[in-house]
Amino acid sequence: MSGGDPRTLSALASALSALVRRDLLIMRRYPLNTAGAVLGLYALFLLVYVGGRSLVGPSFGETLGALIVGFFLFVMANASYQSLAGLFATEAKWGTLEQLYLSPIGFGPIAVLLSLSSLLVTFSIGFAMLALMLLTTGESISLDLLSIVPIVALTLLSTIGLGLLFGGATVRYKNVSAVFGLVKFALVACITLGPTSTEFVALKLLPLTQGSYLLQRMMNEGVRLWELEPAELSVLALVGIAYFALGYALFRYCTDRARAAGVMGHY
Amino acid sequence: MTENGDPTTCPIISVENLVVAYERSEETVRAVDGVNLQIEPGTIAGLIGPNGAGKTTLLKTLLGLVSPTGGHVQVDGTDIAEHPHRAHAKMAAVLEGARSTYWRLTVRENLEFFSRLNAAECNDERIRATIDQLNLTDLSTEVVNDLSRGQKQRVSIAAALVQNVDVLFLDEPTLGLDTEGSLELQALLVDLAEQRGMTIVLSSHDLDAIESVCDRGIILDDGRIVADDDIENLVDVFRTEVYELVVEGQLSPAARSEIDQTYDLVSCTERRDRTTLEVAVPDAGRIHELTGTVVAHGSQIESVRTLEGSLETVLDSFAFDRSPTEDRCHPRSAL
Repeated sequence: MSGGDPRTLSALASALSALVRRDLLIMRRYPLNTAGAVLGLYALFLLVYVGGRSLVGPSFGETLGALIVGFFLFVMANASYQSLAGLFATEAKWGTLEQLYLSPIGFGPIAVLLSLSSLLVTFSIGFAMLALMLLTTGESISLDLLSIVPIVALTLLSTIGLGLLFGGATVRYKNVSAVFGLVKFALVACITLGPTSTEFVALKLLPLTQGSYLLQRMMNEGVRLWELEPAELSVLALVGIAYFALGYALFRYCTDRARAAGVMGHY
Repeated sequence: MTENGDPTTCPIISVENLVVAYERSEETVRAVDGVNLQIEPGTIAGLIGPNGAGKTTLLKTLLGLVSPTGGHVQVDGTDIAEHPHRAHAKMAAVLEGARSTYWRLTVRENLEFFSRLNAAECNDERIRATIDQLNLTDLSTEVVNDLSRGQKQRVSIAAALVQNVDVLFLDEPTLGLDTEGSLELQALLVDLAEQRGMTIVLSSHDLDAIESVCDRGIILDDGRIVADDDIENLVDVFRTEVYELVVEGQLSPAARSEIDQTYDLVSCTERRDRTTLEVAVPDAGRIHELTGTVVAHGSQIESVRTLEGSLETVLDSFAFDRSPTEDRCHPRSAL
């Protein structure tokens, strides 16, 4: 083996592809669990559609895009903050958590890659279910993906940061799932606070809020990414990066504490 | 006994004044207490000791899974605390026996995963060679969950080997294996050290396995190394020199004192009607002097036998696992 730093870009890409492949293979080997998750997402999309239609009436088709994007953001945010904690608990039970820790890529980068892998898989399933829902209902939506995807990615940076925090807490304290219910409500609140953040600027510092605000402007006013004010985009990026950096630092702190207490891998 | 290995060879694992302490119920427990260790490349070193001796903690500290309170660990010259990524690129571990892989993936899928995960490109040739070497060819498309415990254990080792590392750590590798599985695994470990020059550090309660596989035995008790030598040397000490004498009734204090001063009284267990002595005699020919001493003090000898040399005898010479019904009248000596 060479004595150089093994954390190269190609090594990170190779690890991400390994994790995505593994996630997909495990989903295939637990067909009932996977079917439940997929059908659950489909049912949620349908519920949003049917509920929205009964509330708004025939003009619902005009707001469907905004609703779908908002809901998609919630599903992805939920997956990004919850998945890491759940994965670490499962890996500890499987006896594979230590193997992830021993990767020359480093445990911190592995945690981020695990989050990304989970997001990619959730996005793929969610997208497929959304398409199926549109097919089922005969509706159509027009989305400017070039504008939406970068905003969604920056928005999710903050929940990935939260995910790292909860992942680290799981490694150290083993079970933190009791707080997830509360966090879910908090995230819904952050998304709905989006438009209010124009009046109370401090709200922009909450996770998801600025992203939700910008996405709603895009969907309702037809604003493109390059038409958004640089200051608004900067706030989105800085808040996302801050949450991510804080989550990563706390993840490192928690895993260091777990190593000092000799409980890395225990469950 | 040497605590360190051959000074002419550059050690691949170097441990200096290692201490791991935990706070438990308002007291500090030193799970590893001032361990110094050097292991040369190609060695199979066995960590031996009773439950709670610190074997697993030491193993996990060598891997960086437990951070030490003090001291240093270097793997091939790389300090694991300063450069864990570089150190981890040189080592792999099988810590949970058969539970170090994904049971819902096939054997080959597991090997591909660990190959890709560990900064190595998915090397088909290496995967195939590893599958062949571990006798897993016919099982490569089987889901790990469907395999026997011994086969799962081999998959775990294959997943470690596919990472092309220099050092392999194993915690209780023969645990739960039947005799055949254990012997297969032992042969594999010897082969890895001899053919690949791999350094292997394993902890185990399976003394037969340690004795037949390891070049070197490191005996731990209360987090400290109490003996560290070639396995053969550890066993030979007892093979040639330790005798068990069963004497009727109680042994007089004068006799016990003389035996202790002249020889090495390893243990003395008194029961109501007899006393059992384990005595290390520096020269086997002096056994007659020993029996003469006992008889001269008015005791009747019921039996004399040479203790069979085995690692179990060696471990038994340390203060491990005392039976509560026995009154040990002399602390056992250390080597």
